[in-house]
Amino acid sequence: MCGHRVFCNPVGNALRGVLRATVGTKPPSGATALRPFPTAPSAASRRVEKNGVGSLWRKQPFQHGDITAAKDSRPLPRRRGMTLFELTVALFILTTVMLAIVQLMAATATQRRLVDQRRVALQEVANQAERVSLLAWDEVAPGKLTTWEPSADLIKALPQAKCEAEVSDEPNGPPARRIRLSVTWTNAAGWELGPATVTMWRFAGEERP
Amino acid sequence: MSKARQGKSLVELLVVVSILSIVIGMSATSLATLYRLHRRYARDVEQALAIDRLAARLRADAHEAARATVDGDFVLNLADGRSIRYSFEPPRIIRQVKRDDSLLHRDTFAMPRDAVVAFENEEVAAGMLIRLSIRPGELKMPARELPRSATIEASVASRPSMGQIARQP
Repeated sequence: MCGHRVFCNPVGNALRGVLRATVGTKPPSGATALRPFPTAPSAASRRVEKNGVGSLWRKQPFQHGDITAAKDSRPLPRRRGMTLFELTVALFILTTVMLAIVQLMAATATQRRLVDQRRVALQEVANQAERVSLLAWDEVAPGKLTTWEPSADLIKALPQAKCEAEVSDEPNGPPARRIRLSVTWTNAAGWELGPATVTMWRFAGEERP
Repeated sequence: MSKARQGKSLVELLVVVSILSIVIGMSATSLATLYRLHRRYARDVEQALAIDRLAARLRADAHEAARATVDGDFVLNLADGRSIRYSFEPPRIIRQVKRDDSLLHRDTFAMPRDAVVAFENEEVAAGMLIRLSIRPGELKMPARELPRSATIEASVASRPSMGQIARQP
């Protein structure tokens, strides 16, 4: 098959043969398939021309190998459909967008889980602060209160949580102790998170400073 | 070839319909998921705020109270003659402040849907600890969809000198 777009196409030539047999029009005797109509076309051929196929007969005679003779002066018809490249680009963009959305949702879920964990930890230290406030002065001496038994809620939500209490005497002012309660926990990757911390003060004699 | 081909083949139409179906399906799924997440987050935030407000109020009342009794509800008696009752009337916890049977103040705290609320007390060596537990009811839903649970503990007649600050790193 040569490079000429219109006349050297075997499919096109075959189509023209079928067309002739269908509409009953033939080129004038002695004329080749590539020669234009010598006279006004019949109704059938006008119908064919209207449908765009009959325009083939208006082509200039073509000599095989003569490129200039086959050149069509009319503009090419507008391209329809998409190329494979365009389809690939569209799919790539679609995939990228979907991946971004999925990652965003995963990050949102992770942050929500972290917030829930922190809430449970803060609830634990706040409840523990209430318990510590009921302890006697001697029971909150430095080195004596170092940890506490985690609640069922904390064990259920954060099984690997560590509860720590740190008591220190206040150097200035009335006798007082600074009590720092904290909960730290680890995530699935083993990273330590937190701590959720509450700091409270106890004063000797239960009097306001 | 004569002119540009007119119309579209069945294969092209099928491809277009398939791609459109996939795109619409993914979009609809994403939108539904986002809408569900939004509802769940909004519900969680509302519940968390209500529980935080309740915890702060209950602890302040308990610290100020001279005596506490649990008769299905919490009744906190203050030194100035006021009494504060916490009761659960689904789906909310109601706080009523009374003096000589006359209502002085009323608060409500919205609880999670189908929540079960329990009022308990615990005697410890140096005083009393009251505990308010909020648990999800018998709901058949995934764990992540369950309403928030919480336990609020407060010491009754505890040292008024206790001060607290919470630090979030």
